[in-house]
Amino acid sequence: MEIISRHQLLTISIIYQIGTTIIFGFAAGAGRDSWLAVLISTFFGTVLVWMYTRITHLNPGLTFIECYPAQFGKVIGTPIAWLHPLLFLYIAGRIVADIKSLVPTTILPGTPPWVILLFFMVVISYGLFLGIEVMGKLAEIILPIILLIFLIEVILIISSGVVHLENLTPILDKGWGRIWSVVWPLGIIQSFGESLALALVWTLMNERARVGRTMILSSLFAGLFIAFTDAMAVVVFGEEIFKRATYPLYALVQAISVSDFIAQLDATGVIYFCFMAFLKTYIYLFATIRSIQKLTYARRSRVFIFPVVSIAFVLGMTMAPNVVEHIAVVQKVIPYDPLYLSLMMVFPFLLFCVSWIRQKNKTQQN
Amino acid sequence: MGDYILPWQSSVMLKHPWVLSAFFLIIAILLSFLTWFRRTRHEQEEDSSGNQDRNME
Repeated sequence: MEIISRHQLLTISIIYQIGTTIIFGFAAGAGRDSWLAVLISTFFGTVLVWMYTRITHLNPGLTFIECYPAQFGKVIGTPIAWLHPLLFLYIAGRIVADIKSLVPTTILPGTPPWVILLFFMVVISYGLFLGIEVMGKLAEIILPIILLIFLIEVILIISSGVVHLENLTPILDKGWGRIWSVVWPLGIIQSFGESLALALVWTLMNERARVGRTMILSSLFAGLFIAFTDAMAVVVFGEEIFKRATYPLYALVQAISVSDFIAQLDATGVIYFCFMAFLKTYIYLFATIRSIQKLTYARRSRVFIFPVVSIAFVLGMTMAPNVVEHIAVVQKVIPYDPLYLSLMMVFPFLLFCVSWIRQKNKTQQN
Repeated sequence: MGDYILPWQSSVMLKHPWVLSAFFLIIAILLSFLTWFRRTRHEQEEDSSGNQDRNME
């Protein structure tokens, strides 16, 4: 059985939670107050992630999806459990569609999207064959490199003389309304609610008792990172451009120009966006395969890799004809989608209550 | 009706946001039968292997 260390889980979770969120700009609807909206989302999101970790703590030896049949009974619990791999597969398809729209419009114009996605999926399949332990080691190596590149970019942006701190003020000039509209429910679902897929990895960690603390730490770090990048985009572009830009953080990297000598660093930005998208897709597909293995009582999981990766590829290719429609779904449909809200908030809350009451009754009886 | 064949497409999701959830729910219920069937088989296999172990002892 594969085992990952606490540090590996931490690095995987940080990259996963930052994920594709920074490509499209998180909480752009809140304008110049987006950083504040991200911080509030981080607070509520961390509480949600803590609840997920408590559920697995209250059901020792079971993965998150196995808790549903165990607590709600097989008639209600099994269909709820099956909804998870279906949702994970759909979200993996959405990330594949993100790559389909990002890479051909930025670093590889003219290359057919299916070729880019084919290579992307082949590498993911290879990673899935190697297992989560290898991905943990890769995340341990890649995270410091990503943070170093990001730090250099921040220094170069400041050196380019495009930072206008006055763009951040006045704070809350349009009230709390637009902040809450971003925080609930999209701010909490995106990045934090989606950590549900990581719950399938927690049972593989060598120090189970420290899963909760590790996840809280990664949620706080990811939240602060996203808030900082949003604030950077606002100080460079101002509220209106930040709200309208399709890829605000890609545009941020493009804004680097130190004495017309250090410029056009777009490729570095796209490369680390792609790695984050790669790891997030990997975790979703890993969670899908592990869920299917658990729900079908299969001995080996490798048999599911090819069909699951192929479905994600087809979903990504057929999801949206253009990036505008693709983003419109995230903004208008997903925050209010009953499937997202019930699987990420309502059912976990009920599961937490049932598990907690049963655990309490058990300890009283003993 | 043609819209409902590929419910994950953004055009369908924007027009009929509930279709994907309904589609997943139907698939989840159908797949649950597979789990129930496999579970019974899995329990039978475990029982038979347990009996074999006891006979060996």
